[in-house]
Amino acid sequence: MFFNSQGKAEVTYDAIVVGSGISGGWAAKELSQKGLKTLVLERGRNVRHGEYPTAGDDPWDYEGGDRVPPEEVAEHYPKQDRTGYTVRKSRKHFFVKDSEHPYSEVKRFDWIRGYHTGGRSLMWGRQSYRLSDLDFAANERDGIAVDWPIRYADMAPWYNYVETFAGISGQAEGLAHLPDGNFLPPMELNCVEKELKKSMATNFDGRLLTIGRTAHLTEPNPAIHGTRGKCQSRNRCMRGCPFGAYFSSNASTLPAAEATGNMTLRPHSVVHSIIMDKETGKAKGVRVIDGETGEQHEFFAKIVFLCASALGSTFILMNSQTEDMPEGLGSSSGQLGRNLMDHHFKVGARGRYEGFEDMYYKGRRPNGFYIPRFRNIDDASKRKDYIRGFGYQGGASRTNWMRGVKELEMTVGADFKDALVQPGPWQLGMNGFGECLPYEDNRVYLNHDVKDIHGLPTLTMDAEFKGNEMAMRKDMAASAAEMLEAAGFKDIETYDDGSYPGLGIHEMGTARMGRDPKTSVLNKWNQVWEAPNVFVTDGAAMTSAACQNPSLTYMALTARAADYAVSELKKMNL
Amino acid sequence: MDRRAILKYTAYVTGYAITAPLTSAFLSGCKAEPAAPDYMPSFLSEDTYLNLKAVVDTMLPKTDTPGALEVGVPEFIDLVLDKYTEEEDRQKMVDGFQSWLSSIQDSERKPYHSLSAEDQLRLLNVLDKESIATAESLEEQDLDKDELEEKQPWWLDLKSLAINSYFASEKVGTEVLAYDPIPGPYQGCIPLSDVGKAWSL
Repeated sequence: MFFNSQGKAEVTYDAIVVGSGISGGWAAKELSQKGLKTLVLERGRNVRHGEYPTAGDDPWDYEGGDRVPPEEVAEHYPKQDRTGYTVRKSRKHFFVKDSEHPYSEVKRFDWIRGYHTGGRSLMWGRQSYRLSDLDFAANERDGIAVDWPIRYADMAPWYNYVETFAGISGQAEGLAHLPDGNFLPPMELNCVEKELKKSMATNFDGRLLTIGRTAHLTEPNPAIHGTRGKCQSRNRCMRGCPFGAYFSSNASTLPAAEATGNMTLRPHSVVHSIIMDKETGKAKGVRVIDGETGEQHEFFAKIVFLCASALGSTFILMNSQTEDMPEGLGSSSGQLGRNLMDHHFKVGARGRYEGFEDMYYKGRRPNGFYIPRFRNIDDASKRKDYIRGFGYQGGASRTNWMRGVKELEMTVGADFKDALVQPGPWQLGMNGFGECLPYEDNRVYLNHDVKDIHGLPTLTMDAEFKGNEMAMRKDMAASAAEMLEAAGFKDIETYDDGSYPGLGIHEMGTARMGRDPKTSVLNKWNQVWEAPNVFVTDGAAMTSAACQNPSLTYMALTARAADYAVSELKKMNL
Repeated sequence: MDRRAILKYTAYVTGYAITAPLTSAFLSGCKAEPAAPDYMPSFLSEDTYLNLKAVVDTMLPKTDTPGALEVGVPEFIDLVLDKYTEEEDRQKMVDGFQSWLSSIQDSERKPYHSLSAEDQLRLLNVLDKESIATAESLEEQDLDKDELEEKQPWWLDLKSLAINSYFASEKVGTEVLAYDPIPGPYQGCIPLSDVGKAWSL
């Protein structure tokens, strides 16, 4: 079925990287910089840095505003639209059409993604936090799931390494459970955020407000960041940044990989499965369907890095069935596809602040504040009603003209119109992001009844948030409100808008790392237990979710695994 | 600032030469054409449209800054209703608007658009006040976000569309509000007097 018209030498590389998003970009850079001839397979179309067609648009550039006709949403984007912010004229070209890439849900699961070079590194939220031993030792401490096979000490040098190149702006705070990074200068908090920070320091032990740690260049260093420019506070990030001010594969890792001359990037390359060598028990390469022509190809290499996103990589493993492993490569433990996690969010509080009416800000800061986890850190902060914890992301701003709809106590007409030209009162909101436990029965599996446009089977998701998350949510709302109250905010409201797995766009797990091949899919170097030259370094590898935004951890895991892979190759161990 | 000026400015603030992709990113925006003076509504009936024009002109009249009619608010609303609104949402707005217009016809013996400016303002503010009061009483009830939106009085939906359209228009967005497409590093705490009005976008 699969054939190559080219000679085998022409389709043989040292390394194959599947996916070009956050993790794949790092694998491409590290492997090619270490001298490996590296083939990067991207399933979608190519997007070169700067090819961001809507980056310079203003709202009035769109007939009817930045809206998409409801018929088009219903036909092509019914699931991608569940975020409420993805399907717009200015950005829908970076999200998949559900009509072409279906998946099935036993329970609601929002799988939001884009198939193009750079993947979600182009549209990500850019918040970048380290995990700590509070997280890496959490499963062991609580006696649930399996222990992570690594600790913070294993990761710290790699966090340093990826932060330097990516460029993370933030404020060092000296917290053991949210370690400081190698930071570029922090962005500024505004007047009202500073007030809340002050109040929290006075009124709450162990709670702290800091500026978000975000992958934006606030002080570019050309020797490290090349031609990437300084963040200009346009906050149009999701359309692609023409300045390359935030970290994306397109602006950062892929150009570095390309500069080595060792990387070949092949777009429109949908990986079907991994080709196993029966005799050696190792992978030989991958089978690929050309997304444009439908032709099938095989590519060969000494090592394969799966960086296709948590569910994308797990799909490829599951679709790589062998006689020994009928459920797919990496399935011997029975854990492949299980322990699907995401962060639960959309719960918190908001309020109005009286004061600072004569103060304002300049710029659309693509960042907010962060309140690091303060629950279940130590004995004093231990909760009886749930384990693990949450952090808050939030921001203060002055309301705009839309307050004229029902918040302004004024009759409509000339004075009304003129009043709306002025900024309104200050408001502040904070939104909790909570850890979700790894549950074996939260899982994903292959569905052979529904096929995608390439004729491949698809995925079915069966996952839900459970009691621990629900108990945590009550605290997430109440704790937010008490901080606002202590700081003198008015009209405080808590909210819980409900959260479904997937919507955090931090889906992870399903091929977890562990210490034992009987209970995990990957070892401590992200190698598939059954095929040591296959590395999975994206969100699939996560053994627990922590409550921090995870992408920085994928970068560090990838760079660490790539370093190990190359040293093992040199020792002829792979 | 036009787009070419933005490009020059960008090169200046970033210190980097402008690449071809960057140029195309900034020059590719397709500008919506200002509506023709003899615009024919594509969704609303001519009669309803005439009244819509009168309503938005009452709410956002020309002063020393442009009025809703000058920046194409009625054309925009007609287009959004035609192409970009869910059927049930637009039906709610259109039915509500038409039944309000008939009640005015009944009580005033004239269509809204032929009333004096004083009467137009008075009647619109009665509607506005009632709608806000209804919305406030809804908020006291224990409704979820979707229910609240569904039950929000039709006038507030239409008002929201009009305000959004006015402030997101090019003229208001670049000449009335404070416009800075490339603000540079965020400054979190500056005197309002340095800016003078709300930021555009």
